[in-house]
Amino acid sequence: MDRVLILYKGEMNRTVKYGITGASLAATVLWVLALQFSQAGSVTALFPLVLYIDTTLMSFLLAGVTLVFETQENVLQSFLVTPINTTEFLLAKGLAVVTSSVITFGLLTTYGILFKNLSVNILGLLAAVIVISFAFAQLGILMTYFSKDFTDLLMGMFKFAIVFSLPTMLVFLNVFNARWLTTLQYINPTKHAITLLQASVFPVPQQDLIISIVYILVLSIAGFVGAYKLFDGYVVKGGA
Amino acid sequence: MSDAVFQVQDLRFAYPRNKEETIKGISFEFSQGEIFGFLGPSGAGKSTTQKLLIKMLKDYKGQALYRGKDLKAYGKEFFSEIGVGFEMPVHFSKLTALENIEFFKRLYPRHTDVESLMKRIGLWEHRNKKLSEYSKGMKMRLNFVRALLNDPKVLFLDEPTNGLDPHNARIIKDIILEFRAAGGTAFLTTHLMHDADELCDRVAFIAEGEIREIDSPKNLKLRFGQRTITVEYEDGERCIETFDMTTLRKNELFFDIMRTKNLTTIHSGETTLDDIFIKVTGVKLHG
Ligand SMILES: Nc1ncnc2c1ncn2[C@@H]1O[C@H](COP(=O)(O)OP(=O)(O)O)[C@@H](O)[C@H]1O
Ligand SMILES: [Mg+2]
Repeated sequence: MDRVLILYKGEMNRTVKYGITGASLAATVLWVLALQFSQAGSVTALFPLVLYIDTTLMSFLLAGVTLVFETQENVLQSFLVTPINTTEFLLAKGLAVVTSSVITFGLLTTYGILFKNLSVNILGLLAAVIVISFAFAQLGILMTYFSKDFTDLLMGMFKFAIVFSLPTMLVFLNVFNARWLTTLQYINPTKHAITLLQASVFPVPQQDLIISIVYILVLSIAGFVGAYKLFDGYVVKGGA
Repeated sequence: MSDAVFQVQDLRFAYPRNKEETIKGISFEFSQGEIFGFLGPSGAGKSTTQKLLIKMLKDYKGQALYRGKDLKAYGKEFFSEIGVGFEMPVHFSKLTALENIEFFKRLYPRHTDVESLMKRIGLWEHRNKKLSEYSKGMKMRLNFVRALLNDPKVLFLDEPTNGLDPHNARIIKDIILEFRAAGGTAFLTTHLMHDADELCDRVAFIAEGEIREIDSPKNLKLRFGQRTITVEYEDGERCIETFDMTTLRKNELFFDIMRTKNLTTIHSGETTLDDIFIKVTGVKLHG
């Protein structure tokens, strides 16, 4: 566990040094501006959507990007010849991504409460942000395994956003919610992410909430196991 | 051999999606206190062999024993006692040299004295520079520091002097020799005949994934080399004669020249490992 802490501190340190923290803060500022200029008197209704994008896509990208850097700079090889094991390595990476999401969440919530009459279940949202961020970080790592380079990873993320994230947003905003789509949404991980976030803002059918909790937890664990199992194969083919 | 550190038997490896094996059934062993060299041209499979021995590549055929026990039976504790130097830079470009080293240091139970090592290698004064500001040679020297970081018992060095100027190459070679003198064991790959000749107790010639010969540099020269003496002298005009060293003591012409002629130079010509490599493998070490 000591080593996870060392690895975690290293991940956080590099998040700053590689300019990822800066980019993430810039994105937060954009969200604040978007909320500031939204016509809604209270941002409460929009809040889950903002958190949804940040905790799913940003976590996905963040986990992938750091792994791409490590592969490109061959430091992954250096990690592999230390006594740390794959679980410790991946756990630290996941926790670092979760930390970034929690920081963004903290900033947005503070802003919302101070200036925009935000009224939400903060602890509930925090828990949702943590599990969603962790689960989507695993997806980002898995996507990186199958990407050639950074550009490839970005393309993969865009495809993911169009296939999975966009329908969820359309349904959320009531732009398009045909029955077939809402049914199909049950296999979509991003739908369950937004349900978890919504639940702390306004009432959600209890059955839906339970399904989403189970789905995201299973996704976290399955994602982590997958990332663990495929790690060695990635190391062999990817630059290492 | 009881003090064998590594014993490798019929090792074979193919990269995924490659039909042909990169390592085609190699066998060798090396012992405590020995520097074992892998000499071969680029693409021969030296780095791949190192990656197999350090458990980075795992799906191999054949057997590899580390201290008499199957390599596959070792967990991560294996890495506490080995040090690995890679052939390309392996550091975070946006961290300083010292930040890189301190970070990896914390992942090991034992450490070497980083400050004195970095001073000796000429990097201490550049410790607060980011790796992106390092030259290729400085990065390679930091790789060497990285390899020694955990005060290892067994060192794996992939082309440790590659890209270094003679002065820094000398320092690295001295440290390797001191490491052995202190009881350390090393596996070293190189395409530089001089390094292999100077550092290695025994070398394996590797070409196209196969070991063609294993012996000490000295024995290789005895077995394959022609040892000659070339004498240059004045006899009205400039004359050159070459003699075979093994039959020298019975060679009257040689003694006659020694006694009566005005010598300008005498050279002993030993066949280099380079020549022997070509002779044994039919492949050139360079280009
Ligand atoms: N990750 C990889 N995937 C497929 N082939 C590889 C990989 N790494 C090396 N090779 C191939 O294996 C052969 C041996 O490479 P290597 O062990 O790096 O040689 P050396 O270190 O002797 O120069 C080369 O033909 C090289 O192209
Ligand atoms: Mg090599």
